[in-house]
Amino acid sequence: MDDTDEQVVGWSEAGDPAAFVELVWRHGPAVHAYLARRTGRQDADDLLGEVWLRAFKGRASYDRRCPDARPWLYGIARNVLRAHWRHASRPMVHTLEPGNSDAWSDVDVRLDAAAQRESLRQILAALSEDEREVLLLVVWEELTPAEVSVALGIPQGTARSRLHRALSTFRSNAAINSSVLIRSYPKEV
Amino acid sequence: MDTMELLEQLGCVEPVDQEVLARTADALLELAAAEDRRPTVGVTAPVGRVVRLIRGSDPAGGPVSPSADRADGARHQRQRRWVARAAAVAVLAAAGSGAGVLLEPGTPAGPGTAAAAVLKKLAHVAADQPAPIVPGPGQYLYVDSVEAYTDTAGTSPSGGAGYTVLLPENRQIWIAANGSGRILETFGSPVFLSAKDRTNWEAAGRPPIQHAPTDMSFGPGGLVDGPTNLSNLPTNPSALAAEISSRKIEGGPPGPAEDFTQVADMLRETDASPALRSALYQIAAGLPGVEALGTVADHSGRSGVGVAYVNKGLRHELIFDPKTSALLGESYTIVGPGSGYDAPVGTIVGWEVYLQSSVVNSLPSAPATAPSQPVAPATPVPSNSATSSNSATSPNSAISPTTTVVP
Repeated sequence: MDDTDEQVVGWSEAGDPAAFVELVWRHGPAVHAYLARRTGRQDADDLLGEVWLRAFKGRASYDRRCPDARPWLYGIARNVLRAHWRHASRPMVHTLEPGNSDAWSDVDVRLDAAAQRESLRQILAALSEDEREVLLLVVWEELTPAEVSVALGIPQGTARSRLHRALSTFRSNAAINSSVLIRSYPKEV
Repeated sequence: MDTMELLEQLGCVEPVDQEVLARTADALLELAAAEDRRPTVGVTAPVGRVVRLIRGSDPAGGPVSPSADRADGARHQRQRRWVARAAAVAVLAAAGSGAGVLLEPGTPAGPGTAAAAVLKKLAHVAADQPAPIVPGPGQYLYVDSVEAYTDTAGTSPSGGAGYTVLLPENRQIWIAANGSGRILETFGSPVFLSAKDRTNWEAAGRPPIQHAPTDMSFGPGGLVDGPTNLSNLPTNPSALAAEISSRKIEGGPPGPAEDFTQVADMLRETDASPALRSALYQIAAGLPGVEALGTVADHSGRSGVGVAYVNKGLRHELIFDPKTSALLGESYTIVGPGSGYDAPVGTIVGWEVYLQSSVVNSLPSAPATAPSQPVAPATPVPSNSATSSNSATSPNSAISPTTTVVP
């Protein structure tokens, strides 16, 4: 069985810094996807190195009780994104931007999704930044509330209450927009 | 497809190029080599690791095969995470520190006897309580709580650091058996966690941070989100402890800190049966590291018996009514480094009091205007470390400074 992330970080701190690079292969794709969903593929390519640089330098801060490094890495990626947005325009969920034309494999999904993007964008925009982040970490990054609390550095009770609130708001806003959703989805009705 | 599925679909992105990963790995290897040239003491990784790394840096035969299909990728991820957790739990069980083991009588690693005694007594009280009434057709479960959680604002477009406030809130929720209902929320004045947060907020141009009240109505099924369906859980303490420690109920790094958190998560639910609550108190009594606080007051001033658990620089306190075993309130206080908050020791970063839980026959006809309790903290943390005050109000905002007394 593979060594856990926690063991790998342990070795990298205890005299074998190169061991850390193993984590790039394990979690590089997930960290890149996190960035790409929020800022686009091009920027994700540019920012990926910065995330890993910070992770390597800050590896002593890794909580060794957490066997999976991804929540910790997402927390670092979020800080890198914030610094990036400070110099760019306002934060935007890239995959929901109008006119975004990422070439996924599934064309049907892409076309359907394009029609829904604007209403989804509005639904997400109604959430606070913190609620949106919690929601997307759960839906896109598939974290548990406990892992979200690690990623955002917040108590788990807070992560749970934020998630609950985000889901409630998201659902109720989606319900308001549902006529739009149904009209553009005749085959789904 | 519903909106949630659509959101999931929009999370699809093309996988990263192997070349980009390889470039990142090379940069880190370079840094690592620079660090390695300095004298170090310690254990080194097995030799096999180095071989894997070299193979890994070859894009042609690299170990990562990102899937073009999102669903496939997600499946991979879940599998791997499950394996990692199972391994960690196995190690824990081997070390004899699983919660199930700790329940055995005479286990030396048990908690302080005072905390165990408090919790065991609560377990007995809980078992003797009548079963909670569940809402019938046309009725609602009504819960009124007052809470405050931290709210961190991001960096402003013009630059500057972020700031964190403690945002008090009164929350009233009505849930019908079919999952429909309503949530009313009113917010109090945000309180800056530290003087630095206030400075950062001022530097950001004093953006408005007061929250407007919200009134949300939900159709059938709209409010069914929530933790595990508690009625399906075992009420035998050993069986329940095993489910908690093996993370069958929800995730999180294994260990007593997470066990304590999960116990609190389930006690917060008002529909837990007396037997389940009793089992949860018994499990908490067996967790190492739980402290007894004696008689303390919650944030609305009601007194009860308190227990606490310190994890990652935060003390999580739970306060119970000794007569009914009900959870009255809870709070989180910074007690040391590692909390993730940039605020002094003694700062409260979250609290909640549960004021009322009952079954009612109707929703309020008009929006409720005032919360049933003031949302400002009425009582400081019981144990001595901090006081929050929101006396001085800034003229151009509803924000008050916080005064933190460091012992």
